[in-house]
Amino acid sequence: MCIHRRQLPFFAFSLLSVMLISSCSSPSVGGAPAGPVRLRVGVSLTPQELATYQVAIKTLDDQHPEWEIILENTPQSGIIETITAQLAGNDLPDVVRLQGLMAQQWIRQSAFMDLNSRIEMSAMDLHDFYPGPLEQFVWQDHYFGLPDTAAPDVVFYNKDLFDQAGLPYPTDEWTYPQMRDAAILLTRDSSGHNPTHPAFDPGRIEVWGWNGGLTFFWQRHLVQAFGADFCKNPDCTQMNFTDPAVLDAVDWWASLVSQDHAALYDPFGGSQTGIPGDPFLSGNAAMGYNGYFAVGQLNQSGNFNYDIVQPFVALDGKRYTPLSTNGYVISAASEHPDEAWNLVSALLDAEFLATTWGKPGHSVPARRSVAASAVNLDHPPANQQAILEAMEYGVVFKPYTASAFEVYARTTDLFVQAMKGDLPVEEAMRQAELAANEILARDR
Amino acid sequence: MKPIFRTRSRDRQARWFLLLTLPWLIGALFFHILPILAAGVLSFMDWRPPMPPTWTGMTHLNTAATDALLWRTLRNSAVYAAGSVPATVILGLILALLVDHRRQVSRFFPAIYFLPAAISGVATTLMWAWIFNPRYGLVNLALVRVGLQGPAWLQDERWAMPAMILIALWSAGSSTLVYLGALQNIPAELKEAAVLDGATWLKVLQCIVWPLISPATLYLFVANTIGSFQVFTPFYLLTQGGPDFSTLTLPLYIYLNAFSWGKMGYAALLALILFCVVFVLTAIQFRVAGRWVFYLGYSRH
Repeated sequence: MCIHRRQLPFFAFSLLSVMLISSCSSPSVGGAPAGPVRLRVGVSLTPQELATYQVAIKTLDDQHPEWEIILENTPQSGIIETITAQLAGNDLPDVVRLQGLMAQQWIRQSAFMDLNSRIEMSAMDLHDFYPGPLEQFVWQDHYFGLPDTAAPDVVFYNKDLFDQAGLPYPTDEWTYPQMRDAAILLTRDSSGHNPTHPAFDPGRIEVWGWNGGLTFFWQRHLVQAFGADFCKNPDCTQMNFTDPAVLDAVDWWASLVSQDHAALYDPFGGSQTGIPGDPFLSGNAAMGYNGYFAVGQLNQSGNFNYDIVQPFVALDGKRYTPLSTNGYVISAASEHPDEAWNLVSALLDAEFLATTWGKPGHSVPARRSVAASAVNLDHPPANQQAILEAMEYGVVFKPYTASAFEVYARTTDLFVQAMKGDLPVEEAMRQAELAANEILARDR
Repeated sequence: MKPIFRTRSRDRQARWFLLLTLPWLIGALFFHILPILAAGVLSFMDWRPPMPPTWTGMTHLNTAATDALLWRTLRNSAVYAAGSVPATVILGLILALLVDHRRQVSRFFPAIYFLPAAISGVATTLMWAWIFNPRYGLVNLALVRVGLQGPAWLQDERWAMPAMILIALWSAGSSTLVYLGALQNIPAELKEAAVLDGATWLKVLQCIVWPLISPATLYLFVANTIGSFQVFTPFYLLTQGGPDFSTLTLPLYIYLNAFSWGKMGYAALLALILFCVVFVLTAIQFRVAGRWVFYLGYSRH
């Protein structure tokens, strides 16, 4: 049968329509698929973490023929954007591993499943979880996720730089004034002078004693150390930057940066050191707070001579430090909630946490029973016990509601200007408080 | 009978035209027209996925009217366009004139000039991050050689935008190619006649070359202006809008509102504002074009 020329447009149109419709339709038309349930798991891991995680997931997959786990990794810099787009498109994976700091904004939008009844029915012992990481996934006494790992900030110090300055190493008992005295003596310019020397040139500093001043509002622990607090209410949706105690604390840090020249105002941008990234890792800072993940980075770099101590003792005798946490949530729109819960339970199993996170040194498991698996004295730092101690009193970053990231974007430059001395501390904090409370009002 | 045959033939041609452009029309409908309409509706709503959108009326418009950061982004985008568009076009013209002058090597140089446009934007942006590195970057090392202390380009509020404009010059090769095409279409006899009449090189450029390449200039101004208001990658990768919002442009502000701060409705309104700004600027350029653009062999009368 031949096609008449006049019929050609009709056939071409039909062909195009069929192609268009077939490209838009679902591949699994016609009833529920038999066999294992496909569970999508969204993660955001470094290449090293992903290598370990993929092996662990494959093992788990083999042990559970009822599942087929589809792993979806997103680069860490784009995770908020990815999850927002997935939620907007109703395409969130069944299980998502995300940073605790990001969880609350979506928990409060009903994006994740309430896990209370499932936790009650299971044998899961919540007392085994550290309280800080657990809090990150709770809202109105309901659990919307469970943490798997956490990383408290502790003080890292470069032993070689202390040796060169002829100073004793920090200890777990150090206070902030002790840190300041040491930081000034550790700072040196290209001629080797420290800030106490008359010929010291602040324009040619090569090593800073302390890595970073108080450069953004999530560094709440740096003011708590002086008896002040940025947060006015429990979930920190009302902030207080102009309280006299806060101003004194911010001033303490600003003078360390702009008067003593012993700390950086741009700790990661590279405008001062010339090397974007962590100045401690590049040997341009002698001390600084960092998370457990820095251990892996430092050890990979070879013969970096360093150790850690607990966060410095505050004026009230306590210690304050932030916890970076990660955990699992289940999409409220998941079509396989039971299987997803079983998978989350398996991912939070003590043995799984130890082999996937603790022993490879990626992170500290958020469960007390296996947290020590992250301790490996075959490699530095020697004082790894400091991390386990800090897990007990570390608290999560606040505020953590939806608008917190906008507050961060809108106020960080004000903190930096205060540190640099470009803007008086009082004025910078007044502007920051005004902006922060106006934005956070949406979340109250 | 003849006219009827012609009409049928034209009908058939029209049907084929419609059929063959159908995939594009479908794409334009689903991926351009409907999203613009959806953005229009969304700009009157508050939407934080996965919660359903809620009607907020004129709230976002009121917010925009008092949003100091929005006005700052518009100013930043305007400064970037005013700095980068003329510079890119002029540099493109100079390079094209040089290449056109040396026709025997003209196959080589256009390829060199166009090369930046063929390289990944992310890769070149990261390269610029190192070029502008305050301590080890090529720019500051060159300045040190002549006894000057360079600034922290991308971290300094005063220098970040000028640095971004300098980076934009990297894409001048595209303008060079457009100009080269226009230059090589100028009838040689026109220039020869002018030279025989005693015209200098500058006079030939002013009275013959410039009018005849004016359509290309119009195209480049329109396309580059639109592009400069939509540019996103270098700002996102190098400065994230900082320091102190000195490089926060409208597309980046839209992105932050939509995907980082969860304000989809407000971001939709900002996208419409961007659309209006670009539309108005383009309309003005076309309106003014009648006074200085010359089309060879075309008369309005």
